[in-house]
Amino acid sequence: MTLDELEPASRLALHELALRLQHDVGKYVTLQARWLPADADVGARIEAARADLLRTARGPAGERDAMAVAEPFVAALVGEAALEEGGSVVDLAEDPAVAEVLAAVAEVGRLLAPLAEPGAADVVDDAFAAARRLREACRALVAASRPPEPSDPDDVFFP
Amino acid sequence: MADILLVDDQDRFAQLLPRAIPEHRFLGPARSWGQARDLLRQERGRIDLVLLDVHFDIPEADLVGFQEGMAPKAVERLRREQGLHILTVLRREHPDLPVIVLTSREGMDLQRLGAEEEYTTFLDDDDLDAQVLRAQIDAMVAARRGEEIDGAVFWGTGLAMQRLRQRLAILARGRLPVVLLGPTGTGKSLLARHVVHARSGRGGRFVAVDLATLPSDLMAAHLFGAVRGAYTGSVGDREGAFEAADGGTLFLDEVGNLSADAQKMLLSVLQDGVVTRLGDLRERPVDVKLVVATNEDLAARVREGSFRADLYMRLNPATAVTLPSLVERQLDWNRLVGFLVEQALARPYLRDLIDDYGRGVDLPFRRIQAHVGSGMPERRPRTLVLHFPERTLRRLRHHPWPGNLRELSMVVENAALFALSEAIGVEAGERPDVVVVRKKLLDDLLRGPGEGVEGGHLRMEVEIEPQETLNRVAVACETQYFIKLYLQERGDFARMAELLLGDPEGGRKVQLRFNQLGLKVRDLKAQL
Repeated sequence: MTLDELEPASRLALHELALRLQHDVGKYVTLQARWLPADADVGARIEAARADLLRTARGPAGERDAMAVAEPFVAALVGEAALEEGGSVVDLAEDPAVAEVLAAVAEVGRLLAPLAEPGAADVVDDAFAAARRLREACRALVAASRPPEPSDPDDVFFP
Repeated sequence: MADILLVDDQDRFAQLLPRAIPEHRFLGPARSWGQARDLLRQERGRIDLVLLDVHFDIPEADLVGFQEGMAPKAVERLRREQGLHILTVLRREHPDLPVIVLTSREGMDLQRLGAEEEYTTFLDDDDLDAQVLRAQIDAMVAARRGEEIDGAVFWGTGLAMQRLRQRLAILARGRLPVVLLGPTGTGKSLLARHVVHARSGRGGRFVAVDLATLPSDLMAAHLFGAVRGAYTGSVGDREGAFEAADGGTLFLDEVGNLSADAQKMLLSVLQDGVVTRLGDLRERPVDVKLVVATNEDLAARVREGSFRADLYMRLNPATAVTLPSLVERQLDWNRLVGFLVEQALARPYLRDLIDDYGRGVDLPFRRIQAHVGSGMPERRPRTLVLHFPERTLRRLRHHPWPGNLRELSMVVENAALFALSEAIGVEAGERPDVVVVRKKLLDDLLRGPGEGVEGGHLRMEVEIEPQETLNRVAVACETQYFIKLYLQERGDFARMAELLLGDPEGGRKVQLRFNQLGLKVRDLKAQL
């Protein structure tokens, strides 16, 4: 199923899910990388990439890597969980915007183990590129899932 | 340096910010409203700004707005919007504390949550970096520190101001009163609040009383309180300013206006550390740091008998601090103007104008900077520059500034407003990212009531610059007032002749002189 085939309510639920995905995953996988000075050395670059991808969520409840944070969102996108609590379950893997998110998540997933290793310098550029790809994929999904504006002004509901 | 409270349930920004923006002190993170409220109380007004995240993945009991029996979906929404709920309660206790909310606006019903207001800025943390955040923090902190007089605490590099700064910091910690002297608009109330009170280490309130606006028969009641029936119209017990400022700082502006009764009572408070409400016998101990300000010569008032000598001595006049007028602060002129421009640009209504201008030139501006002085500013991505060229600065520098810093601040803000408004809708040139504040705009803004026809006489300002000969100076002056007069009278030579020669028939003579000065009517008509 693609986004355009979704019922309006599911489309709205997907859009909200995409906003949460962008908030929880998209923006934080590139956070420290964006704050790096242009002349940062390789040690600082590795530390930033590890912070962004291996400790994407960190607080009193502990740390979670990017895959762990993305996991519930991926499950909802491929029909293994509902788009929202009590909502519809749909497999959107064939939609191009969703497919790009899934591919970007998978690419990040492949890089997590080598990034944690002592030889992380070899993969740090790939990790930054994969993180940027995931960020852009999340943004694209937000844009693609945005419910269409009503074309007729009379369709606008004023509570 | 500013003290910034981070309110965030995660550690990401808490780890990042002290390294990326080391010039400020970051406190927290407070992981809920409860923790934020406790930290704000502990810091007793020393927090300059709050950085607030929006999504809080915290226990239900810690969520603002949580109610027993809420549906799981509603709780999830509450977590997702928790920062905005925190903002609402924060505003009740700290209505003017600047807050930067780290969120994109998309998907947020900000209006419903009442989050759209002054002192609040939303930064899309999706694109945030150290430079953007630093600029926003600096602008908001500067605006907050300057709001008392629409100016700012700008110390500059001058030795006199640096000494004054050190002196105030020492006096702030002491127990004796502080006397601030200086002309109007130099920032006395600003220094009382943001320097003396802020550095006193006192946890109580800052209370300001302008004695110039209080009727003398109500002054004592206002300062010292009163009990019911103490005077006509006193319908209940009321606390005075001294009690309100207990544990904090009381600022008495225009202290020379103190009535005779109030002078006597103030002396008693300073001697004994107790206040007695009008009509009451009970003495109430008060611990108040007193700051008084005046632009009068209090010693002269003592000599003429209108101000008590014993009170004057109790006010600690030996350590009085005199603030310089604006014209005495020429050393830091460009930086001061730049500082005031940045302050003005942080005001929300100017932000709206900048957004309008950005839409017109199809450039979404994320940063705004002031460029003060010669040369064109460098082009920077998504940055709008408000440029005050040298010629405009010279015009500012040569103004007498009777209203001092307050007046300059207002002129700069007006200049930003008019320059941006006039740029909207005009076809953009080569550098749509630069809005120039022209000298002509300053001429208009500074003309004020000092120029024009008054009592049958013509008053006009001219700008004098060194020339090779006195004759050239005279020609330069004459040229300036001819241009001003032509524009003022909308090109009516008969009216100009009436003003200059007292004869409306002399228009031809004026026009001839106009030509001799090399002035072209055609060029000036374009400015009408």
